[in-house]
Amino acid sequence: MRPSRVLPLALAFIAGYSRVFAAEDAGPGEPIVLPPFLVEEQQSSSRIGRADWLYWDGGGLEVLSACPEDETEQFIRDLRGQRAALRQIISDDLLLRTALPTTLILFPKTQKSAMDEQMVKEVERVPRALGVTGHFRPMNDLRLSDPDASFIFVILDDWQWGWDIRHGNPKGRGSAPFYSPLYLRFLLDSRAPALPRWFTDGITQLYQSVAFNDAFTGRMSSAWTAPVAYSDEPWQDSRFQKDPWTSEASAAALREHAGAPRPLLPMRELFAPTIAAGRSDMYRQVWGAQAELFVRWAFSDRVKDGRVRLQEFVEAAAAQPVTEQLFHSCFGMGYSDARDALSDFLPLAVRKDQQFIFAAPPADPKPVDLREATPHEIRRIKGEWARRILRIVRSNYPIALPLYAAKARRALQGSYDRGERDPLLIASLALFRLDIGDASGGRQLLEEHPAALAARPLAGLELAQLRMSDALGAPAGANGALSEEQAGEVLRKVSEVLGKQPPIEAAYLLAARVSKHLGRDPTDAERARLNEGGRLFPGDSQLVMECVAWDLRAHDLATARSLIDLGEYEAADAPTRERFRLLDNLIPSAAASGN
Amino acid sequence: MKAPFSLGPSALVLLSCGVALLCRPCARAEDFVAVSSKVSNGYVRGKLPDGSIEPETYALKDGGFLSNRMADDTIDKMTFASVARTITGPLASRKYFQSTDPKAARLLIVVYWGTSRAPAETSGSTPIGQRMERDSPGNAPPSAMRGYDPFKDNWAAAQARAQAFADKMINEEDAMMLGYGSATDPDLKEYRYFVVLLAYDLQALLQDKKEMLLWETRFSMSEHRNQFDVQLKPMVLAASAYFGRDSLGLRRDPVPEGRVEIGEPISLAAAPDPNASAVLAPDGAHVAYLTKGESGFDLAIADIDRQELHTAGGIPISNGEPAQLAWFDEGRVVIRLAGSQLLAFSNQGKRVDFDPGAVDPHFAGFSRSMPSDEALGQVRALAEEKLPDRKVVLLGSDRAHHRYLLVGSDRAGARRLFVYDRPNDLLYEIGRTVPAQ
Repeated sequence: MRPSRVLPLALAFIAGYSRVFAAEDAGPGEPIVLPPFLVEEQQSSSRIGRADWLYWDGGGLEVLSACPEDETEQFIRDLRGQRAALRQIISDDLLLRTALPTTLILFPKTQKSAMDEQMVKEVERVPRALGVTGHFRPMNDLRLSDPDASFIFVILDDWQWGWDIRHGNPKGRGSAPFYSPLYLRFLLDSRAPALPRWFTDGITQLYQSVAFNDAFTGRMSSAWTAPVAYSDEPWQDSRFQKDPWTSEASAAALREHAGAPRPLLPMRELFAPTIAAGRSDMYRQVWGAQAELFVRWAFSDRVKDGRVRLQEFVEAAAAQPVTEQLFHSCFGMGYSDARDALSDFLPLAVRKDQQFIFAAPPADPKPVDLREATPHEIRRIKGEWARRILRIVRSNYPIALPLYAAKARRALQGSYDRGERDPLLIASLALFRLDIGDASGGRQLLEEHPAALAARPLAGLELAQLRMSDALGAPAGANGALSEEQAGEVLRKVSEVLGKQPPIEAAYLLAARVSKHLGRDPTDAERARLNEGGRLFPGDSQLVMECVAWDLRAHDLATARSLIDLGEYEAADAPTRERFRLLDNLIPSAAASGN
Repeated sequence: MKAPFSLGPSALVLLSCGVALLCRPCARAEDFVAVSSKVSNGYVRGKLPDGSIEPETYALKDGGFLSNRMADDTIDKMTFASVARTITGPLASRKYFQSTDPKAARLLIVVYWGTSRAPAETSGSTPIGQRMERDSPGNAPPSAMRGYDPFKDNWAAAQARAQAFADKMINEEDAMMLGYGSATDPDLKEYRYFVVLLAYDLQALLQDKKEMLLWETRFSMSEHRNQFDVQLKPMVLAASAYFGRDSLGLRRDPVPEGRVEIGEPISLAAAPDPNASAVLAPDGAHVAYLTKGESGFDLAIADIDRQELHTAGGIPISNGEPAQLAWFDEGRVVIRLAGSQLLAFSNQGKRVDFDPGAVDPHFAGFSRSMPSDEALGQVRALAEEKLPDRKVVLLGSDRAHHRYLLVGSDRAGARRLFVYDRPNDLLYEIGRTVPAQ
């Protein structure tokens, strides 16, 4: 197996968009970070005769690559292996699922500097805003996620030109057996209903501790930190490295004396949906360390079928308040015994690596059917990328927005004007128009191209929002309420959106809004849809309360009560909890009125 | 290693004074607190999102002192104010807090206290009861009575039956009052000190003039060799676990111990768990305890902040010998062996010289300062939250009352030492030992 690089890939999955280094935040000498342009036609990066961009589609991924064919192929094989490896630690059921593929744009590092120079040059031509003095720095790897799909931009080293003469091996790091921890975090955090934080923190930390046998040194090395070239069969000698506990010193003390003092939280506090405000740093540190310890314990031989039990518990905890009874039903013990078990397991966890043998992912015989990307694929993907980066520019350096918007328009509108009718491209163009404030233009496109709505759930949701605005502006029902026809138009679109993964919170909120403005109570089917939203997004207290209100009116007291319990449990503050309690107090009168 | 040395006379005096000061009269091991607690009218404690109990406020009302006919200064002189002061801490441990505005409180808690009456007086096991048995004609066989008069004797028998009926009523009333299911319960053959708390919905009372009892807790303890003014606090502490809860019948819980046990020499044979002698340093930074090592006993010193453990092996303690641990200051811990020998160690577990003549005169009181009742109640409540389903005993606190040393038993019978760190709201497990067989 020929290695590719972990570092670029890791970085690619790390960088979700954040608003750091925005112009107004940047002090003198601090950079203003901006995304690169991709819309301009790039010169070929290939030294092996490839003409232009390559394309591959499969396994929930879509790749557009400006890198050489062999490197791109290896990258894709690595990705497939990484996914297979991840599946052995975390079930797909606990990760984000999307109907649309995740799009990766691979770009060779050798050409990155030219692209960066181009960006900086053009941005510097834009007159600076008053007081903005920072220099511009191009972003490297970047993930941009919409509610329905993600785009990831990856810079790859051209390792084939950088052989290490001494060892005859490629420079850089060995093949990465896993996704980067932060990409895993993204997959975990984006799942609906949300997974409990103790699990996402704990499993991510455990995942980062994976080590493989280094074929060259014969020693175990971290999959993440050391430059490693792995053997062909690293899976047969793999393990979780020792638990780092709260600090190296505390772990060392436990290694020396199993009875050394250790802080441990009661399990009830570990499983609480949020760490209460005002907790000390020490408390938070213990919470984080214990989250990992608990997951590690479930993966250990201390718990029979621990991984199955853990998954059951996590799935249940995502859907209902965590109670000791729930924990007991999954692990067969109460909170106090579990705390004691963790305390007893801790000295072992800090002393020894924990073997974790992967069922070796089968050799990947499947061909990677790379082909040259068609012009419309290139324009569609580049155009959508150009649209998505506008949010970064708007946030970090808004004065350059017209420059970036013009490039996005050229990519998207240009393709459309040339006759491209790919539904995804049309959806991107419509969303672009909406993003820049051209509501009528965006709407017209969506109304004229139903296929675009079917292709992009986000486009369908935008049109539903527009129709809702229309309906509220001219309600056709009695007493200022929406008519059935108006409501139906919106709700049909919402149903189409919600028919695809992942569930989108805004779609449920829109459905709730329709119910509020309709001159009747929701039907059972409509209410079921709302309740589904409440269960998927219990942290949205407003949505949950509206669901409960309708359930009470419908005398569906069992559903109301379960949602009240869930909403109260997830509520972020005392006033919200109090509101749920008030709703709870209404149950007896709702019951009485139903008799 | 230097040889252990004997405790000098002056130090012995100081040490024994300290022990005497620390040792309040304690309930005996066979004593128990009988507790019966019920909730009614759908009363349920609210829960905060983190699962802890939601606080409730209360106002206290004097229900009155109910007494038998026996004089007992330890209770006769108690006032409602002193009883109330004693119960507020344990109430706080269950997150019941006294309202600053009595009319705004959620609960009105009516407090009764006193001694049981009839069982002791009629059972024959007390002087009164024995006299009554002797004086009752119905208790003597007719043939053995001189001047037998059927009418008079029938009257006397009727009178005795009436008395017996009255006694029975009193018995039953007392049994009910003390929370017993049956007036014939053997516990009731002795006089019992009791306290009853009845918690009413104050707002329903004020607004609707409606008496809505939400919960009641009745608890009692044998008067035999006990003193009410001394045992009231342990009684309330034992019962406080059931405040606002259903005890599901009568519970007989041991009288809480441990608050004052630190100064008592502990016989390792009689108390095979050497960790019972754990002590928290006055600054709360270290805990010293004895543990069984591979060959004899070790002194273990846990550094809480560094999460390190230091040990010193070969402590010359034989089974059956008493041993006592104490911190002389923040840096030195001393083991007092049988024969008044002292071994001194640094908080790093190193043997150090020790001059008994240079003992700080305040030594006896240093790390054993006990928290106020309210703080004690709060710590107890926190211990219940942090270590649910575990019986936890508070062993002491640091000088600033920031850290508390606790011991609790786990399912396997091992006793685990904990330090609760109040500022960080963190519980540290310090050590563990399995009781010797």
